[in-house]
Amino acid sequence: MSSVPTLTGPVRDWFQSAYPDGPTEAQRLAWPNIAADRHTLLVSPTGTGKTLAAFLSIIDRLYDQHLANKLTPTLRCVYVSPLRSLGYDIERNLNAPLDAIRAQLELESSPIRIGVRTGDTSASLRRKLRDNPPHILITTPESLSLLLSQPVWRSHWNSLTHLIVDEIHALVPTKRGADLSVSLERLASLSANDPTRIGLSATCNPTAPVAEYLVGPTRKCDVLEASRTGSQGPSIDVQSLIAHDEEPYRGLTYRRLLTRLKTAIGQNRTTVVFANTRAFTEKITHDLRAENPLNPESIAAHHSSLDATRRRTVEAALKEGAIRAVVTSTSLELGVDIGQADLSVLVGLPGSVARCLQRVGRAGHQPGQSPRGLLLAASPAELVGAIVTAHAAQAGAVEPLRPICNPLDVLAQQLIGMACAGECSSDDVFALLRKSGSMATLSRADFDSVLDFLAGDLSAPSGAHEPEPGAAPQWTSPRIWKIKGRWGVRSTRVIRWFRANVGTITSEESCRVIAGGRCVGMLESAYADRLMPGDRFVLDGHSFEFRRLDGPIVHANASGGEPALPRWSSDRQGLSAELARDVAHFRVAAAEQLSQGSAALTYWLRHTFGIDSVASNVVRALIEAQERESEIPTHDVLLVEESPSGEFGRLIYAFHAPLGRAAIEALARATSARLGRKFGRDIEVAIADLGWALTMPEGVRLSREDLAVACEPSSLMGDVLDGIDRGELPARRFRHIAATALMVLRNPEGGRKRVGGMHWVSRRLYPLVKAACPSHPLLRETEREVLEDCLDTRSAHAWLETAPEIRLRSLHEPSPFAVAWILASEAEPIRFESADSALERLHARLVGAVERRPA
Amino acid sequence: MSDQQSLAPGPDGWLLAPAGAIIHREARVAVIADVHLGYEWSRGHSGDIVPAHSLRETLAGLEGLTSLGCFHQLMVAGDLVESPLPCRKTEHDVAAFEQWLDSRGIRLRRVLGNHDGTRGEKAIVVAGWTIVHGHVKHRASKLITGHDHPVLSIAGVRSRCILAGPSRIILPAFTSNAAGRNVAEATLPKHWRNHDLECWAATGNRMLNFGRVDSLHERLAGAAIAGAPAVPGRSSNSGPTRSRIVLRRQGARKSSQP
Repeated sequence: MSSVPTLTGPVRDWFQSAYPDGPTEAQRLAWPNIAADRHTLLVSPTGTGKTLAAFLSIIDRLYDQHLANKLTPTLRCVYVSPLRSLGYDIERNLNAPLDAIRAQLELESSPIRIGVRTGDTSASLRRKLRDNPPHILITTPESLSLLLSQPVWRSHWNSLTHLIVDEIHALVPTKRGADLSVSLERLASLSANDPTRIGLSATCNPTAPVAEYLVGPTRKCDVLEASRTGSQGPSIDVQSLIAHDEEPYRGLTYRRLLTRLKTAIGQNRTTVVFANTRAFTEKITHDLRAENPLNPESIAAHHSSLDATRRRTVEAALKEGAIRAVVTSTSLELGVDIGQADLSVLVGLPGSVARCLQRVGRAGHQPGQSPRGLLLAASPAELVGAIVTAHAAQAGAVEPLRPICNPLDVLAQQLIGMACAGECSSDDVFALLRKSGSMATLSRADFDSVLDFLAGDLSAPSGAHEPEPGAAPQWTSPRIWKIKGRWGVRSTRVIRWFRANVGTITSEESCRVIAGGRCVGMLESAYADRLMPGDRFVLDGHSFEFRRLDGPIVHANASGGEPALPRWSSDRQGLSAELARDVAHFRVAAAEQLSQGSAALTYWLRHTFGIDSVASNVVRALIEAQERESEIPTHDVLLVEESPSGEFGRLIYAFHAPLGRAAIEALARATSARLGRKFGRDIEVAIADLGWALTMPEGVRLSREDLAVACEPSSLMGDVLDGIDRGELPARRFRHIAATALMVLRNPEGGRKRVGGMHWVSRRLYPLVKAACPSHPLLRETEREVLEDCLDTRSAHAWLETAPEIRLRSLHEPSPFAVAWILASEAEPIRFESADSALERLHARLVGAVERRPA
Repeated sequence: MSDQQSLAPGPDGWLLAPAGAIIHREARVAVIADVHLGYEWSRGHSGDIVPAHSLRETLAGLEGLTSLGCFHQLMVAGDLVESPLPCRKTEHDVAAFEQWLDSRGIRLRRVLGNHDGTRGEKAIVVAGWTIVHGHVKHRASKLITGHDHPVLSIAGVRSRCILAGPSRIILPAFTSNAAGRNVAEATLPKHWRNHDLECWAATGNRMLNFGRVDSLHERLAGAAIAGAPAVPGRSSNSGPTRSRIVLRRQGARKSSQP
């Protein structure tokens, strides 16, 4: 007993024979806590036996009941993971011990049954699970939401004793997480005894908000933190794919990347390569295979748009060591068990320390082994980003998680789901919601307004527009009826719509590609939007030439020739706020070292960051170039660089500030609003980490006084709001919010999508809703999301309050820092000019001075 | 929309109105196309929650035109409604539309469009011009059509436009719900490139002539209007960072159009 705490009987016997070294720290901590029915958040690095830590004392109890002949065939435990593949993995990992215990007891079949219910589950298996629920149900947030909406499942939840949420850190800061938190509360309300909740995470810091997310405001949660036994933190190597005297040239850099990957794969038994995007994953896989003609099957791709069985085959092959390398976008980031990879290679930046640790943690996924990672950088900015990311990851400086509070779009979807399961009472549902982690501070007014929205009862402001007597109703397609505090679905169609559109994952839309009269595949809309006639792209191994984009359809011609590489060096421009600040510090510190000679810089880079001479020369060249062309922006300076844009003498102003993207977003919106108002013309704003750029209209040159006024800390918030209103951010966000709230259906019945697709929602529905009901809950959700999730006005204001010295420099071309960090971002117009006067101006330019006036 | 709409001269006495209509003074006829009444009910039918708006917007758009008092008949060149499926609410909107016209002494005549089912005339002839919807080929020498929804969309500015030539007038969608086909693109439908069409874009109260449609893309590119689509044949697969960034910024502006 002492070596294996709290486990009993056959489960203990099995564990002792299977793990003679005894339990890991995580298991030793978790088992007694879970056995005592205490809510538990277990934080423990990858590869420390978390799965058994969570499940074994539950299985122990089930076996106890079995041996006492008291085990009923009812649902006991629901396990939720953010990834389908992780669920199947857990099933495999539980079946092994269950099978061993069964064999040990010489039983015909295991008395404890496990079932997996995801979007991939076949209809017949779904029926089986429904008619004969397993003891342990493995599922995803979306499938759980579906099950909760089905009246036939209602009685199954009654016997629940445990709820497990895996990879909880990946859910906490998302709307999926907010949705799951309400689902957990619904499960709790439907079961006889409040089930014990268990959260699992490899990285989370601080733990308090995650624990509160898991159990809500009314319960207590124990936080158990275990360290990795018998090994140190990860070892991460950073290398540059370019040398200090070259411009990044994608063809050359890409060939070097392939060579580097081949070496890495050759030196290790198994290697996982993270390529950030699906397109790039495919490209690398294809080219690595082409260069390994003898055994192309030894390299595989893994991303979420691959077929599920194919993904599972790859995972199994990797675990068995049957393949040498797998190239993945992000889909292997979370804890799918892929056995012992020897090395993780990260191509491009992971964006945050948490993701970096997750990815590197894929190598050495065994107790006692320390993870090994290699970060490959394709540009100077990426190299600097990689250096600070690796450094922070080795120090374990994980970014804090911020749960999303009271998202009204998620609430709308959950309310429809509840109504699908049966008639509801407003008071009961509101009380239930307030017990959940994500809706703990929901106001009754917000709750009621979402119900009104679903019932089609939202009233127009007086004087907005008067429907004539007997006119048709103001809103189409209400979802629920509502009488005296009770409500339910209007029709079975609403239930079908809910089932076809459940979920909060807002993937960008895709476009169909038509070439030679037939559909050859899909492209992401965001990618298609950027293509220009004549551009070439690869799809399904063939090369195409872009002709035009027509709503959701890309018209293209099949073409030979060398296709464009997918964008890659800056695919993931975004850094966490913490890493962005680290980069700003690093640039200043590197410049200080350089001022003592390049040997000092090289020494500092090697000894503090473990950087080789190729990479340190790239850093040196970047710092030197910036000092030569402009200056290194320090923390007490707001450096503004003016340079010509090449279009009609329009000037670009690059603003450098040592802040993360959300704070930069606030500053960029406020400055563009202030300057736009002053000049009465549209300004284009590009928002990035560490700075923003404004492209001014023709003939406008900013003076030092203009800049001082634009960067004034007083009344910042009002101008931030003005800058948001005149840009496109809220309309873009509204599109996803309307889809999550099921206001517009992403998958309409019959599968026929409308021309214009979700663009119509931004372009038309958003202003229509604004006019019809300015206090609409989804408009308020849009505002909440923009102000709380996208912007950090407080940090922006605090920095301006320190009165950074504004330095204006006029350059012939953008400075190296501006090119590296700021100008790669996309520009968004901030509108100050009316559409009519903009059109007249364009017309005047086109036809010259002589305008043909109408008669 | 301003009451003071100035009309631009089109072929054979047709006047082009910024509301997206054409008017023939002698025949006392106005023509619009692609009204798509009941768009919201059709969307609602397939599950979307949308505020009612089509009827109100249509009437607001016609208000300025009727105040000119120069026509007794309004021809809709096809697609008066969004869907031919029976819908009580759409029928209510159509009836209210007719009543509104009636109270102003205007008679409605419908040309059959691809969204109209069977309700409407195949073609109507006014002053030697044949009004059809345009979804099927027609052999008349002078045609007025709808169906294509032309818009001018450049540098983030978007405006409905009328394409007019000596033998062909193509009307924009009267509804704002239609996505529209951009006349500033490099590749245009064949029937836009023939017929010597000129592009008239509408501001709130007047029409601006952007010149011949078949050369518009080239001229916009030649004037290097910011955000105009790039010249074909240019590949984004270029080398050094700096030129790549310039390319991406142009692309970004293009994608920022609504």
